[in-house]
Amino acid sequence: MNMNALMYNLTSNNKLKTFGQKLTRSYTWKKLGFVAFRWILFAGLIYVLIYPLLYIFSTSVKTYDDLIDPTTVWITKNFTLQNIADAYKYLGYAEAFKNTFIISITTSIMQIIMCSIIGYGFARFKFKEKGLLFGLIMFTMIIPPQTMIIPQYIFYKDFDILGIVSLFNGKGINLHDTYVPFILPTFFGMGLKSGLFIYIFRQFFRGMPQELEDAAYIDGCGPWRTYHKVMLPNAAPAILTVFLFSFVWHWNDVFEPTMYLQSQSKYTLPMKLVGIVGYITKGFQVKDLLYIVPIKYAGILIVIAPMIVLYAVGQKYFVESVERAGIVG
Amino acid sequence: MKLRSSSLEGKKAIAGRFFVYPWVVGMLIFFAKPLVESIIYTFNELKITKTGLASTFVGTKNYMYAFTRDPFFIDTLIKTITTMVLDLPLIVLFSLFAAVMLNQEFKGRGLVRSAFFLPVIITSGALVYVLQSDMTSAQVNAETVKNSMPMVQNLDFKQMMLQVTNNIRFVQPLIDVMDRVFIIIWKSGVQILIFLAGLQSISSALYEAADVEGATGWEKFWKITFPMISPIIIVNVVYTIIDSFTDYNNEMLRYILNTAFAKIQYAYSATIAWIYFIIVFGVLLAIVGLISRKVFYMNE
Repeated sequence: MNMNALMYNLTSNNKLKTFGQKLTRSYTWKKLGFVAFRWILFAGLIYVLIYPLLYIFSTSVKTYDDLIDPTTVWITKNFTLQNIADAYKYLGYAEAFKNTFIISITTSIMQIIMCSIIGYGFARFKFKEKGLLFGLIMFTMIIPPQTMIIPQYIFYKDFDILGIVSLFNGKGINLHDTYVPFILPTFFGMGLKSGLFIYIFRQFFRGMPQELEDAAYIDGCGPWRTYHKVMLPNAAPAILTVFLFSFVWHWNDVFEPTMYLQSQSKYTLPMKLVGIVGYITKGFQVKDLLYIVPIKYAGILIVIAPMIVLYAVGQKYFVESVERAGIVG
Repeated sequence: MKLRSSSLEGKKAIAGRFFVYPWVVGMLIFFAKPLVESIIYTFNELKITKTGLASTFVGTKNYMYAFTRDPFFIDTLIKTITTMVLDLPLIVLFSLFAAVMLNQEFKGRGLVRSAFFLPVIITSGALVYVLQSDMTSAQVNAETVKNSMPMVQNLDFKQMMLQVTNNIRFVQPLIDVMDRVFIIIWKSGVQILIFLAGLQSISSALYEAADVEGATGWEKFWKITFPMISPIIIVNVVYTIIDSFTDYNNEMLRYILNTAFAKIQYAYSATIAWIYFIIVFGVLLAIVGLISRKVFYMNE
């Protein structure tokens, strides 16, 4: 008995335990308080996050009368879809949507293919320059494309690989206003944010068991076949993550299309959004801006709508795929 | 004597090179070459002539101009860097907090996580640009318009505060903070995801051992969660700096693009882009260096 008492007194958490036990007599209160705190916090944060969306939506369906009416703030008296129809017309939505979709999908597919090949190379093979090259990949992510706009612009203006094209032509081909400047770098793993995708694939392949690969080698597969038949089919989480991120980023990107695309018929959706006020007013000075505002917001709504739909359908994949791809830890 | 390349190691090394070298080729064409050309341009003066671009070597004239005679450059630079450095700890701390909260099991967790990630999906440069050029908000305050979404500028709230306290020097910073909070929550999407992934990778054995020893929640956080996640804090810091640095509605970026394409001063635009990049890179190295000392690596 004495020994027990001695040990009990020597353990340091002693006093805390009794005090804590006193608190936990009101255990349910504490838990309830915590849950309430959490919900209030999240309610506030979610409001902040959703607020712009709600505002955009509610402004898009208002008529002019609603905007000048001080009593309508969120809910319209006259619900109208006319603004959306106008915005659709002014933006040239169908064509721009097609353009954006083509760019996003081809780049995403190429990114998946090339980045997984490169990531696999980094993950599973040892060669001397590996560390240096990987550091270089990280470096390409840090340098923003804005430092290289001029050379890139000129590069694509007189595109000329190794002087071959100018044999035919005198000078190179002008690749502006095509989709080649977007797609060509992805063939080499140098597309938008490719470094990140290479990193994701590398981490993923590193996390796969070595036994799988050894079994493939024993069965006589060369490295390419191992990659192709064994590793790739298992890489679904990483492929999904990269695809979703790449698609969304390319869709929302405004910087590169602004540089390379010149004719209106090739513009992407976000690009058209930037110039929407110009399309609506057609260059005339408009005295009362409230005529434009609902159309502008309707335009915003239909431009972000595809992404929201994609997100609603695949949100589970977005949020959880990052964890499943094993990027961290 | 066997050749190096005919051992298994050697063969695998060659195969690995096949996998990776396409990237090297791409890097040289699309990255190294423009990079070097861009640096060369900063020392030249580019003029458009009938046959294309003509460059004349002028030494460091562009750099001198940027620092001593350009009215906008230093001003925009300081403003952009200050904004970035101020937002950085707020974003990282907020996303850590949100990730810890989101990591606990509760009903509706999936929905809340999706809500947090929503800004990443819909924020495109175009969106924010269009919203900021909203005329009604530009009349309010041109300064703060650039820092937040205009529709969230609580006009009534500001008026009310002014009436109550009658002191704009007190009210204005408060309003700035409120606007900034909004931007921070919107920019935290990807960081929350990264932290969540990191939190999941902490083995629960550690927490169980802590429970056996009788640790409180607070202690568990500071002694287990925080050290284990400190490498990921660095990842997020780097990501946040790079993200805010290449944000489309970044003032500095807008200025660079403007100089290049609207004012057709190609060489100068490249110069300021490089100065901006070097300064941001310096800031990045400084911050990462400072934090790295406190980082705890489990396996070392």
